Amino acid sequence: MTAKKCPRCGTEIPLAPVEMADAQAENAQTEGEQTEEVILQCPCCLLRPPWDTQAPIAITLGPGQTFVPPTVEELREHLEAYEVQALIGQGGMGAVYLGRQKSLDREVAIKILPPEIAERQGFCERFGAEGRALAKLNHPNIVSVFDYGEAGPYAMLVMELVEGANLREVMRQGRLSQTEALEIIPQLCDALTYAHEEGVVHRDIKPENLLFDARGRLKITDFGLAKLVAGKGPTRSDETNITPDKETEPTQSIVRTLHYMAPEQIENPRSVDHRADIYALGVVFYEMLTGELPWEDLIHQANWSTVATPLNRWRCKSM
Amino acid sequence: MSAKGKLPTTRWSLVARAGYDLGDPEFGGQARQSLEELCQSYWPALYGYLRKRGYSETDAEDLIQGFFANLIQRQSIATANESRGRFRAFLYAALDHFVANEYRRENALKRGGGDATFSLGQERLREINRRFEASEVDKHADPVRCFDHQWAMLLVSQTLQELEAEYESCGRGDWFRELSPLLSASEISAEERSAIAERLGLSATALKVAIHRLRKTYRDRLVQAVAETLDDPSEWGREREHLFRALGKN
Repeated sequence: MTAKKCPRCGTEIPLAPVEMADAQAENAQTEGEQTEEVILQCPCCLLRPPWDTQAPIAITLGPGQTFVPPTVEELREHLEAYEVQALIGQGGMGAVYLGRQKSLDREVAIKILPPEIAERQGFCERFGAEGRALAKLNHPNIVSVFDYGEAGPYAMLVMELVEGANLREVMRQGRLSQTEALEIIPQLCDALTYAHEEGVVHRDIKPENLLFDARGRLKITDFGLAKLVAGKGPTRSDETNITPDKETEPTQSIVRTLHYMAPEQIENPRSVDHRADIYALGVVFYEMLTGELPWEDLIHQANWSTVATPLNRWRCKSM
Repeated sequence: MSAKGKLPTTRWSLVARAGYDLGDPEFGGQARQSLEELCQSYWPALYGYLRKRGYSETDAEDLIQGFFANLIQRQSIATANESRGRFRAFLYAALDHFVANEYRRENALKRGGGDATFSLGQERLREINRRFEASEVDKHADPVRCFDHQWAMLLVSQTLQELEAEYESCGRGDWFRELSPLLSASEISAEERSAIAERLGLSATALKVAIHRLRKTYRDRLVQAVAETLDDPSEWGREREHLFRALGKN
């Protein structure tokens, strides 16, 4: 048997004895060929896989945008009821850790918010009220909140662990078929309707907050978190979560967050109601079915300082 | 706390920091254990390198056993400046030196020079030797690049094998066999996707979740495997690029 070259990068793909790749060998043998060696995968493509590229992520900016999460060991010092095991995610609004609830011996996701948020005046009261409201949400397509509280300087939410992928990660494997989109959309609508009937508005619907478990079932996460992070500070710069830091260069990921925000949410974040979620839902549907975001050309052509006003004007015209 | 201070400790960083005094009662023991673990993990790359350079099975086996026995029993490992940060570069320099000395002595009787022994897993050894039956000896290749090529191949194949074992241990061996070809591929056709989903009994979305999980876990393990051999694990990206270039030219 002669060595083959990788169709993608041209690297010579090594051969291996059958016992190194039983399954591949079995496949070959079922076709009647007594194979002594089988072809492994391209080592170059395994070392630097074609899918291993940085994708833009919609980050909701908050005071914690420069947040450096504590190490597992550091967080452990602040938690007795939970055993912190690994840092599994980090976003603009905090960090998520894999943990185990000792009393019930179950795995959980522990989300912590930056100290800058927890230290705000009146945060504890609002966090308590929101935490209780979120814990009441009981729906198969909404990530359950088990507990809330403090972990040292951090505000903490303990949630159902969803080991799967988010919609952004799913969409990176290619545009969704209509059938796939139609599997997802009813679950999303059903969960949002339920939450709205319970008086809870999400405020930050975007692909990163739409998770799928191992069975492919949708789970919406981070309900109401954007409201908590945006806060109720006395100044406009403190209350909005879309104005970038003066020293922070606007990036594509930051600009992308705007796509999911209804015009009134940009103008006055305090006044949003369930309609802002419905607007974001429409953008997510559009992206799922077309693989693109609405207004993408406009965003790319404009610079940061000129984005918000024309974007809003166009959006208002279209509504 | 400085960024450096927050870096997790790797096995090689433990060895490199204790390098000049492995006999130190406080840190030497831990460093020596880390060194032994590293040697057990990475000897196949050195063995493969010697075979590629034209050494017979017996000679390569003798040299590797002697080299690692000698390395493990040392009281200190004085690392050259250029190889201090990378276990790969350190091993290459040390092996090169050892082989040259052995060649001069022209005997293999007292390799190791003491009581220490280093055992090569026989099953693994047979596996590598079978691979080299189909492989061509290349005495004229650049030795450093040849070494790095073997090193890169080892990292990738060990990462795959460990991941396969993990999937097998939780009863998901069939998932690994169906999905692992997607680790080196970009995307597949809708027809292939549907066929895999049907064989595994998954919905279209669940299949995408399973592919994402496998890729993510594989990437994490690969990064960990690369970082484990570096003094500063945040350098893993540069090390991966170095190995990528070494693979591409062979």
